[in-house]
Amino acid sequence: MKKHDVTVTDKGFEVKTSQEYLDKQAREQRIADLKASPKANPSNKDIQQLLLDTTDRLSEIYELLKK
Amino acid sequence: MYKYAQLDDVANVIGVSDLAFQVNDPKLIPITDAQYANKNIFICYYADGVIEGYYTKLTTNKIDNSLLADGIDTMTITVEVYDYQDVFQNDWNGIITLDIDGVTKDLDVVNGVASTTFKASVADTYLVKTVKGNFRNAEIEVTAQ
Repeated sequence: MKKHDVTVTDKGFEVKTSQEYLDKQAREQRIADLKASPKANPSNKDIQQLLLDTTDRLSEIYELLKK
Repeated sequence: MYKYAQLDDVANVIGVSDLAFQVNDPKLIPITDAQYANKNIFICYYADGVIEGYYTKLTTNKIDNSLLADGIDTMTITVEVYDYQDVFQNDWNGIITLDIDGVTKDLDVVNGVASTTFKASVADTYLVKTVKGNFRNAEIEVTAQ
């Protein structure tokens, strides 16, 4: 995973955190938040988000193993 | 003694020879003692009856090529053009491509020099290199921390 993206402007080069990396950080934060303080009555949206996040994480692990 | 530069099929210098006899061969070009002793002869090519060769030099305005990874601190990267005899080419004009992590920008070199800026908000080490055919290209590492 690329941690950063290099872009070119009229003035020169600029390096910013990649969107992929920011998305991963947000995903890990959501999982960590739920582990730290589980909800007594999670909404369907909460459950769906957790499933998506864990699936995404498993996919990433699978890709790493393939390498 | 007769000193020669040996050319490949596209007239790049690929070797030098110091012979006891004179040779007539389109791929062996007579050179001077100074050219023979110059290590940069291997960046040269033969064109229009002369041996010539250029290289680029990369410098920055920051100590140790290091800047803050805050997205604000700005480094100036400068490209200069020299010939194989280490003479700055103050009349060289053209395009030289700068590459950082595979992302490129064409720099308009005027009077042998061109500059661009670099800033980063991610701490890491970045490889900066020039891309110019027939030149010996330069590369430096810049660190954002």
